Amino acid sequence: MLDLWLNYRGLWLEGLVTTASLTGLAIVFGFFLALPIGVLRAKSTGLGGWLALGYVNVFRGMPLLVQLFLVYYGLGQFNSELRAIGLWWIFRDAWYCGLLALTLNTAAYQAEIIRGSLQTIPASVYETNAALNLTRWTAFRRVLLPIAFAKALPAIGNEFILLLKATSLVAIITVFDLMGQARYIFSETLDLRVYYIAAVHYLLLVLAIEWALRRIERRFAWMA
Amino acid sequence: MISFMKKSTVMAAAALALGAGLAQAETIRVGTEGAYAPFNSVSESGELVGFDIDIGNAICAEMQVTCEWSTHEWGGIIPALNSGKFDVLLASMAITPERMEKVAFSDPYYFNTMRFAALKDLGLEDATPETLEGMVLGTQAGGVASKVLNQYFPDSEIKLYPKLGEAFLDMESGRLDLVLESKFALADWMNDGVDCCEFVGQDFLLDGTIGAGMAFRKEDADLRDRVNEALATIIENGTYDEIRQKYFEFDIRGKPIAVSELFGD
Amino acid sequence: MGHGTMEWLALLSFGDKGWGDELLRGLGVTLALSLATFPVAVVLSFLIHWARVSRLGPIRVAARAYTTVFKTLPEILTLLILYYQSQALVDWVSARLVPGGSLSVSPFIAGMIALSLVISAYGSEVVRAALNAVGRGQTEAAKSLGLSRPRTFQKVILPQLWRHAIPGFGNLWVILLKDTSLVSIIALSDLVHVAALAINTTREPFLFYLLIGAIYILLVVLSSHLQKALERRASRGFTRLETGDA
Repeated sequence: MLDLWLNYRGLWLEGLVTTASLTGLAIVFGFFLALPIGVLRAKSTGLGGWLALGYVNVFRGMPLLVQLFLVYYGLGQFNSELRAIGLWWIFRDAWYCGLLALTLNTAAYQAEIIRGSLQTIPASVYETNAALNLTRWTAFRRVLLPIAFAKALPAIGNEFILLLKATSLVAIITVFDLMGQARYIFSETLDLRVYYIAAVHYLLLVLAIEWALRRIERRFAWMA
Repeated sequence: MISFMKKSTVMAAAALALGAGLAQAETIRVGTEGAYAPFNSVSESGELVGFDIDIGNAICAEMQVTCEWSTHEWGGIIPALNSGKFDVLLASMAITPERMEKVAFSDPYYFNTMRFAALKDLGLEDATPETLEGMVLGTQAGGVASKVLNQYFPDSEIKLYPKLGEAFLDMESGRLDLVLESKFALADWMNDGVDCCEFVGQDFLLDGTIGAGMAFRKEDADLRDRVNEALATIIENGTYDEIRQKYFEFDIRGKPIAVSELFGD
Repeated sequence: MGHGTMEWLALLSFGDKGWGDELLRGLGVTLALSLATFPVAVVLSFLIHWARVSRLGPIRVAARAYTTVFKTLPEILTLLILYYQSQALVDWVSARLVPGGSLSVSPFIAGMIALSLVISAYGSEVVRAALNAVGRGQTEAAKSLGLSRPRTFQKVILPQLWRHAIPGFGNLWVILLKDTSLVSIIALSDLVHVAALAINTTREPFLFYLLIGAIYILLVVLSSHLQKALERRASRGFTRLETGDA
């Protein structure tokens, strides 16, 4: 087993870096995209609320594999239009396409998490904000958002791990993440142990993330 | 033969009872990819079609057995054969020394040669490691073409696809500059109303390749001998040529030039 | 590509030239795999939960390892390992049972097993939470009435359990429905696989992936309506106070 890792250690490490960076960037970008969507889901009953619900239903309703294919091969069909508006450099690159699809996908899940935590903020907090004469924006930015974030942290941590697993699908659109490297090394060696080595990598990554999350959660626990 | 798809559904249901394949003497399970036109692909009506399929059926007819076809992911098709998911791998697989360590091959039934197809816009005169420096080259993962790209084109970016059709989509969108693959598969794709691309350079073979063969588990030497015999018969009695003429106007059993003579030092 | 709407419709028609009938069959495979897997996954969820609270240490450890592994590995990796590796196991067993016989693990079966393992790892937690919600008091009350343990579970706990387990299992059903798409990678002719075949000949990835994406969304939305209906049914007879959102 170890020989199979050592012989291809350069590829394994590259894959590890690609997987980790894709997951990390997607979760952060996804969070910022999810914020307005989650707030609209929680607060708006008008058009905004409907649009937010539509977004969530579309991106949670489709398998990620289909979303990846749609972004990569589907939008690739419109390459001349994308060239014309100067966006082809994003869609030309499989890594960017993967990041985009993962971000759009995780944003839908994170939006629901944010909605949930906003809805569980007790009425007393709102009353205090009113009593302190905070403007709606200040109240949102300085009080509600931090509390919502602290409340959402465990669920977002969970989503982080689900997203890490989901990243493995970018291998299907030619990105050499951990799974992509595993598939390549498997095609070279036809040795099933390759997939077990990949499994060990994912186990270690998840354990590392869980350990980090526990530390972060403890810091924010007083707020939630 | 709409039944191909139906069959796989029915088989899936039958497999619930784990009845998928208690070996029967008169049925040979043939595995192919189903995504490699004109050799093996699935048509609009859901049937498995192509040169490989016709050759396989002719061989089975000659052997007086029933072919039971199934399709498999290319990347795992050798493990699928070795783990007994089917008995004969008939998927235009090039016979290479590496693969011979894992499986046994029949006599070659044709020579599948590689060639580059490039975006017309590039206006390439020739395809050599020097002229293709910095370009994006693609092919199917786990094929002989990926070995050639990795070995002879270190200064180009190489993209590998699970399915060949996906590399074609990326040629059409311009993500790839060139694709290296079987010239027959490329011709089939480009004849299909695609005008992005053109052939460049010569066609060639990977060193040590001796054509495309059917693969067997190593312990199934018996089956291989019977298939070889049937193959020889259909070549001799003209059945092979009849099938070949359906797909190609020229002989596809001649041996082309090897890659090292072309790009080697 | 420049295809007009009419040409797109022709591609989706039923019959020899269109892909409509193939797609419908792909949908059938997707649904069949989901429907065949789900009951297995639910039963496994209970077994894993009981193993996790077993009085025997080794069983508890094994159950914990099971949930950790299957919640950690990407589903596609679990599927690939199972598809290619389970065959070795099956061969070993079948060689001992039926000399000369060979059984083959189809992509359908491999998908069923892999997805059951993954879904049940999450499902065991749904079961645990639901049992907690029912409360230990119920078990003790049943015990004092002289009911046996299996009978207590069947007659007292289970009817109340569903009410708490439906949202969790409903969620897992939706995850399962979408995860079946992964089996296309080992060439099972589900919706995604059929779409890929269609794209091979039609060169229309946007149309086909958009279409099957819409089909999945429809299935998921339908599922959530069904789930709501089931939840309402399961809460009949409970007071507003008990069922009110926490």
